[in-house]
Amino acid sequence: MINKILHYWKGYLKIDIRGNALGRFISQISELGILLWNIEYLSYDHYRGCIYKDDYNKLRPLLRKRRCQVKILEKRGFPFFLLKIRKRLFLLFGIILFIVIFQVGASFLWSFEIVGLENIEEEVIIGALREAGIKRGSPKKEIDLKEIENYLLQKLPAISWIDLSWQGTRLYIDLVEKRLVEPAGKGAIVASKDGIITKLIVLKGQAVIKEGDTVTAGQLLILPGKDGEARGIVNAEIWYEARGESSLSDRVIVNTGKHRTYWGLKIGGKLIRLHRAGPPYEQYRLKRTFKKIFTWRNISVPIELFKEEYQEIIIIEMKYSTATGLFRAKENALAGLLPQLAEGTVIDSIYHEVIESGDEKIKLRLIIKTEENIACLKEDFGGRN
Amino acid sequence: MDKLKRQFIRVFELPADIIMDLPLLMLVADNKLYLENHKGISYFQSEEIKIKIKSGFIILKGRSLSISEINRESLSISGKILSISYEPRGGDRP
Repeated sequence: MINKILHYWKGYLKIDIRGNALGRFISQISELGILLWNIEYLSYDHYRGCIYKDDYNKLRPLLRKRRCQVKILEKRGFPFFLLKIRKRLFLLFGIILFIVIFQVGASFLWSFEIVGLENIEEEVIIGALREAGIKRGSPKKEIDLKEIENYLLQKLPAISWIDLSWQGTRLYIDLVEKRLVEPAGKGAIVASKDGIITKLIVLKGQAVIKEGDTVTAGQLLILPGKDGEARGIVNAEIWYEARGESSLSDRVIVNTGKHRTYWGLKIGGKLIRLHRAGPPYEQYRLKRTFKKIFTWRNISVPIELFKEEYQEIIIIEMKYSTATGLFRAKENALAGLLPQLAEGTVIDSIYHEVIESGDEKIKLRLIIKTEENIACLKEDFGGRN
Repeated sequence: MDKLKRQFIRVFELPADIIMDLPLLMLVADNKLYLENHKGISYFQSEEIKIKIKSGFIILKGRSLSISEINRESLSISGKILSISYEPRGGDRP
């Protein structure tokens, strides 16, 4: 390996040696202190070998003395590569130019990527950046990310957090917007559902109920103030009720995995089976598929191939315990109740009351207690004005 | 002179190959052979190589033999080596 690298570095020639008594000739060459390697025997008057390019000229006197011929087959190694490159100056120039362009190109800002935008337009951010002196084509070196972060936070109050980082030539902007509380609306606050008030926070206006009061849907809760605006949080305990039932036995169909397929022909309206036997199983599920044999444009021959696939099934009678029945009935009731709840509602507690419990069936009443904000702005409230 | 040298070497326990210019042979399995202190190649073919040494010849027989390196002092041979024999100078002649 090291030898090979040395050979490559110094540059060597692959030579053809022709003449008589070549063994002797090789000895003479080596006596001159010249290194030869990879000498192959091709015929008695024809050898092939390698020699350093600097040693080649030293062969001359010997060649003159003896009637041997040496011919260069190949030039290999770094010095020859250099020579080649020198001949192709423009290639070298191109390589250098490429590297320079690459280096220069990589030191500028080329694009932005903004993540986390919800309400703010991308143009707003880019506009703010431009005001700070950052745009496409700005040199990366001159951009101080920390400084820009602070600038943007000050400039755009709608942003609560921002992080800038480089991804190659791309400026990656990760930000989080502030969630601004909606401004108070004109009108009064009324109850959106029936319930018992548990918490009452009036931000604007005047409350007409107090905690512990029972309210009905649509009832006035907070009157607007002088400017006609009302705002507040009114939490109420709300009760939902649903009924559910479950039978204590169930029939479950189970596939045994056995199946058998028959083929037949349908001609006109008649089914002709190609087998004699009827259904192979006592209890089965039948899947019949038809396939038109021949269709051409709108014309179809009224002969169809059909496939009948019988799958054996077993019907199992399942008996549930009372506890399982109760659970199933509860689930049943809950499934009917859940769509009524608003998203994000916290369920405080669940009660159930068994109405009917027999050998066959179980019936129950399910009561869910939740706490929700029932404050609802009613705009066309003409109350006090 | 040679006798004196030999005695000198024996007395001082010196390596003979260096002082006397004697051949040193190293063989790696049957595919590589190093030889130091050769006196040149007298015959080279892919089946047979005859190397001159101080006191005679070393004859290698094998298949697809080639000289992987040769300079003034040493040489190495690669290929499938089947036999190595030694022929003292004038030994063949009766």
